[in-house]
Amino acid sequence: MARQSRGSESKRVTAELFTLTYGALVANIVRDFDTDAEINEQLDKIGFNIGLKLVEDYLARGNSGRCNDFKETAEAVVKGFKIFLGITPTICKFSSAGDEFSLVLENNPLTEFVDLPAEHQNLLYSNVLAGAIRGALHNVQLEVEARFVQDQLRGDQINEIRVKFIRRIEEIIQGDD
Amino acid sequence: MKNAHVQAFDAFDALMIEIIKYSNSVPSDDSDIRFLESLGVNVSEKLIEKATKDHARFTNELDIVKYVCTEFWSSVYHKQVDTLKTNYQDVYVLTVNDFQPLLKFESIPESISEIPKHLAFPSGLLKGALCSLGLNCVVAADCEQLPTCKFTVTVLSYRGIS
Repeated sequence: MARQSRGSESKRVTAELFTLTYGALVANIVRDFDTDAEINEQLDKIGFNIGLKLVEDYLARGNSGRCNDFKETAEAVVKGFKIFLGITPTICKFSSAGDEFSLVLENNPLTEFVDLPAEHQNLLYSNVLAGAIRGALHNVQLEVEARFVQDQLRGDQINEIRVKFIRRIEEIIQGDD
Repeated sequence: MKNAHVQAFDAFDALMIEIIKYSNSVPSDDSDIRFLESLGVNVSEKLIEKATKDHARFTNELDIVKYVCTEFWSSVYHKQVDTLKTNYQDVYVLTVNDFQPLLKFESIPESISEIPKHLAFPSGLLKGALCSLGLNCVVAADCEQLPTCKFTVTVLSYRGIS
């Protein structure tokens, strides 16, 4: 059976559903682990696995998994955010070598209802997003580093994820610049 | 067996898969099933609070159940509950055909023992939604034939019109 097409209301609720479900999960992970570093690692791991799956859906929708350069990769990541979370990050701070960029989320739907408790100042609440970027790109043969460098929950002005190209996986594939 | 085709899912579906994996991996005070159900209750209490803020008051018990089966359920799983049956006393049986979290088990029958974990969160969603609207209840889920799921709601008490 075909999935019912989603109106804007359904998309809004879906993003909200994700936000609330994620929040309930984070609350449990915070109880289960001893340090913020361990919590952040767990959120990143969960995000990585989510990214692996979502890129399959992204490709199944007819989007290309092949990017000619890292700038196109950045645009593909932004498109993925729009499809799956209904937000459009801004791409900025491209390195002169073209191997590093930032994604700025002025509004982060995951943290709409969240305040960071005093005892968890090093918690990266939305670390699932950084992990998802790594996982998605891993599944299209790109190894990248992705990490939050600014977080509004920690008092920063914006939310910024820095993405750095590490290497192309399976370099046996030639012909791509 | 259906024709094979890519089954679309969204970020929420991907998150649920990871939550179930997480519940397997970390020891917790709760059992796996109870943990997953409690997440569902937690989430639906918040969803219902927002969704019904401007909704007209529900006139009776059946009205509440119908709302949860139609508007609430479709806002999460993109389609309404397929059938609703009741004995008009305290039991409602909801049937969902082609339930999205169960579709993958048609092609991976060896992991069939995992099915209860995939039904625990939606059971919690139903329980949380109904309790938030004044219907204190317990919800049991079972899957007699993939990918159809049956949720049996037993009402314990009804808070009525406040």
